[in-house]
Amino acid sequence: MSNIVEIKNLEKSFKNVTAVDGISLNIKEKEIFGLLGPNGAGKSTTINILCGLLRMDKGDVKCFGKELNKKLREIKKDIGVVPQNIAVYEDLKARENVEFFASLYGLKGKELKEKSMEALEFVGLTEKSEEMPKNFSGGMKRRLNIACAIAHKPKLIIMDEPTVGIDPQSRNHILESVKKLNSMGSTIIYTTHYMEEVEAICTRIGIIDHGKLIASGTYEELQNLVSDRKTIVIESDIGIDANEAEMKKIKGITKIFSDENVISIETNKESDCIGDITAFCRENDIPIRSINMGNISLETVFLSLTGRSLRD
Amino acid sequence: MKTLSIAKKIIFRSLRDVNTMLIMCAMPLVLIFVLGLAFDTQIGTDTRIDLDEMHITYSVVGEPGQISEGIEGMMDELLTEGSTYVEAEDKEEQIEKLRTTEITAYVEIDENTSTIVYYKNNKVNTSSSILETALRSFAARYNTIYEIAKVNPMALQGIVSDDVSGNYIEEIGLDEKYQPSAMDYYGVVMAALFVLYGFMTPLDEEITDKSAGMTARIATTAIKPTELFTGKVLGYVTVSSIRTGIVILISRIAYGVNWGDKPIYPLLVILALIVIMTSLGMLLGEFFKSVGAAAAASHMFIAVTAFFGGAYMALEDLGPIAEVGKYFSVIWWVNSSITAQIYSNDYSNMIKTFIIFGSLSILFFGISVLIMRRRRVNIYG
Ligand SMILES: Nc1ncnc2c1ncn2[C@@H]1O[C@H](COP(=O)(O)OP(=O)(O)OP(=O)(O)O)[C@@H](O)[C@H]1O
Ligand SMILES: [Mg+2]
Repeated sequence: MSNIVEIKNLEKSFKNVTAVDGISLNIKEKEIFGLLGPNGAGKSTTINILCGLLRMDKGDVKCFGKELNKKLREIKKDIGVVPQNIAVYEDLKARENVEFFASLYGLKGKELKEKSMEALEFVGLTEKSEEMPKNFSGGMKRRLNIACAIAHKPKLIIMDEPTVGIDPQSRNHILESVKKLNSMGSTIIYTTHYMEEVEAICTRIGIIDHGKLIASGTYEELQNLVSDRKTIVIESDIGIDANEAEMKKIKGITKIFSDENVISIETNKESDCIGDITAFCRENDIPIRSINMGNISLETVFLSLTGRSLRD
Repeated sequence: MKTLSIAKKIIFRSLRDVNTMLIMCAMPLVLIFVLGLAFDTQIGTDTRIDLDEMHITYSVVGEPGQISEGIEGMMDELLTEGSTYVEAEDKEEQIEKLRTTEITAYVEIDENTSTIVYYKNNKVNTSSSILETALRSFAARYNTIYEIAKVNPMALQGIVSDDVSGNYIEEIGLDEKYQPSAMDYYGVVMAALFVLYGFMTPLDEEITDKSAGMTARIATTAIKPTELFTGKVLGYVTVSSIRTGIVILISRIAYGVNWGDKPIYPLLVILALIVIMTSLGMLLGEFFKSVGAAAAASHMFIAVTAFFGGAYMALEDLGPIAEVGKYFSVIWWVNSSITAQIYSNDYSNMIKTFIIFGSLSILFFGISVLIMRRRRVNIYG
């Protein structure tokens, strides 16, 4: 797969802050690339440079194989930008908003009308198309915000925290539509500081902090990067605290933490001790209700890479 | 197309803003009415000839008959002592006398075509209003064609030319609501004043668009800066033109405000004002960050401009400060050039106005474009 976006040594400073500090990354066609980082990490700055709102101080950015600094307008035609803050006209109908932005990408006439309605349908706002966004809920506005960026069927969709401050239902709707857009052929750059979202939809992830790309790769690659351990979580019908010490003697187990009838076991990655663990349960009359091979969360990845929590 | 999209968006949003639309249209109409009535007797007092001393001359084409005799009889009753009603030969001479206000009116009676043409000096129109009314009802009774020709006091050519047709003749219907000078004065001045207020629309919209991230979002699309700019100018100018057009139209129809025999010129001046105010609004919109600060500054600016433009009262007796200050007021330029054109057929101020407004508009637009091109700020995120 070819690279849709190539960023090399990108730097951008504001008066006294270095917002982007030498980021290099490639985004391939058909990816959902998650840009994960805490507040102020430099996500929006990177993205604003990519869509031409900010000039870079240094670096080399190519989009669709074209030099960003030279072919900006050509590049922009194929990009749809969902800004972090909702940017729609409150006093234009939902349909008019979508049509307005789509027309700025050169759509007109019948095609403009059709594609705009498609976009509204896509985000589930068909029934609200003739209403003004000033009467919309936060989630609906967010969805309209997305519709305005996708009617022209861009090759690359850049979404800057499209789910901030909305209810779980709307969020799921949006996450689903991001996946759908991707399956329909768009490459997506998705920034967020919610790791659950990235875990749920992104095919590749870049973690940035203080303007630097700390790590990038698939979810598994990132997990492997920070950990040589696995977690197994066993749920039982009875309390199992008493067996903790005995169980720890099983070879390969490095740590056990139990809480009433849930026991969480950390093991060496190489050692496959699940058989020993289930045998131990049988011998000690511990009825197993469920076994989960727990994953290492991105939170843990972030924590071990930066020593900070993602949430603050 | 993208240009039109931008313009269309601006127009739609403004027209939907019913409150603003009402204020911008109803307010000037109310003010024209109120001020027009209140100051009715105060504008142009100095040039008025006393009512009981009217000097009227007339000429008759064809055999003197029913019409000329009827009018003569009417004059006998109407005119007070000291007034005169005499036949005159040389029309050009009479027109000249009109211009110098030596005579109040000159009546041309054509028995063959049953036409009365009433020449009056526009500056003294109130003094002859009784006479006008009388002639009008006479004409209505005798089913004659009645025309009023206004003689302009300064211009030298025009009416003297042999055919007294077309532009120099105004046919006046039997409209009882016709209010002469004050209504006309405020009709023009208020239309201009509310074009001035109208510049807050681009100002306001540019600032809120910036802070709401709309400017940035539009900048991420494929539109070219030139298209964006042209679309904005087109949109804002149209919005202001629609509002002002409504005011002018209603003031013309309901109050009979006089926009002259060639309304295209006054309207072009108003359009020039709309353009310069749009350019100013857009330019200030680039500088201001908050609507509140911009509004405060604008109200100051409008108040001063309105004062020196004579929007609240005619400037005549306001002394030397006003004499200088008026040149800084777009309203004065608009009003003086329109008045001179309508009543004196004098285009010199109008030309100056076009030159001044035109160059300032280009300057303001130019600076806006420069700022727009250079601006690359992280507006959202
Ligand atoms: N226009 C600006 N002027 C000055 N500093 C800025 C500007 N834009 C961003 N910054 C600073 O640059 C840094 C990176 O900001 P950026 O908006 O890229 O972060 P982010 O990762 O998008 O954060 P968030 O999750 O809060 O959106 C921050 O420290 C921010 O304060
Ligand atoms: Mg951001």
